Amino acid sequence: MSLSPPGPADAFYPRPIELRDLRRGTLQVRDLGEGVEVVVIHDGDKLYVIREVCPHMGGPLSQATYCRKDGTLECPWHGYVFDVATGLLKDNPNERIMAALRRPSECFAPSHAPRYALTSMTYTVVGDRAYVSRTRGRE
Amino acid sequence: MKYTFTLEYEIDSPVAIAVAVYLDAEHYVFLHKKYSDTYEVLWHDLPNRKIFIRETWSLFGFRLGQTCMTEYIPPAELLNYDIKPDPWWIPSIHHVMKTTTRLVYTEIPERNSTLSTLEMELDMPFWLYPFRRFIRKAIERLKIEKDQQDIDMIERRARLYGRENNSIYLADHQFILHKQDYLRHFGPNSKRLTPVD
Repeated sequence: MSLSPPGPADAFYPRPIELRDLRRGTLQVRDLGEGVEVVVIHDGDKLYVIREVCPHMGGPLSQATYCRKDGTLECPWHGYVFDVATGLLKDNPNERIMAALRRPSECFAPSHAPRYALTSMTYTVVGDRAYVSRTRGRE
Repeated sequence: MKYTFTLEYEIDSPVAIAVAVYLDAEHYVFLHKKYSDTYEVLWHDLPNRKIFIRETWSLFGFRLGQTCMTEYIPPAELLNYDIKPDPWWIPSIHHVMKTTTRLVYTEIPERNSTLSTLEMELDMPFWLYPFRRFIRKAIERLKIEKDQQDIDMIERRARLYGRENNSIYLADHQFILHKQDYLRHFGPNSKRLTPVD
């Protein structure tokens, strides 16, 4: 079996993810080269490759807390909780913590909040390697 | 007996960013969870920019905490006072020492950075006075450690979005404390992000 990336080499980041090195059910960080880091979660038969940047304020998802039971990532900066499978924001705990102060006003409209979502990276598995595409997947 | 001291250093970010990060209360119990992992608003007087809070943390399996009055004086002055242990019966230095802090951010124009000046006044009984330098060191260490977490956040955001980019704090969906006052002085679309006053 060829261990070369499928298709044009420049369609993928230079460093593939070695699947054999991944521990299942934990959050791991991989350097794809060119200064790009991703969060990798290999759980069951699912492999999630996610941009290392929180879509809310840019927090380091390499330091996020992965809850295997709920399938969620919690950003270390503001506690925003994302569903790993869909990428969508599942919970902003500050809505409860700051409830007494979060009153809509002319400069604060919580109903306008964007649908924050993790950026998943598309990849192709060849042998024991996952080649991550430069084309982003779901955002 | 009163003991006052000042802790001063430069933060490599515009004042508008430094103030925004301080007012961005959503990060308090997450980024700084090592120091306190709950934050509760007990009372507020928003027209006068005062918020009375309770923060708690865990120590050797016990939950300790304190209540504190916080006050924002725009554009870049932040006060903490009336610090009391909570619950009242826990052992705490705040039973015998009154602490007042005044944090002021001022612009360093030549570098468009921020001078952070923390003035602390500790009012303590005579028998605690000999330990004042030890207490000062502990307070300074805590302040520097927490600020370093904020500075790391500021630097990462500067790399990702630009050093002067405070657009997320200005966005109408984003919650920060005293937002109307912040906007009045630091936004929107202020290139240099300097206070208007």
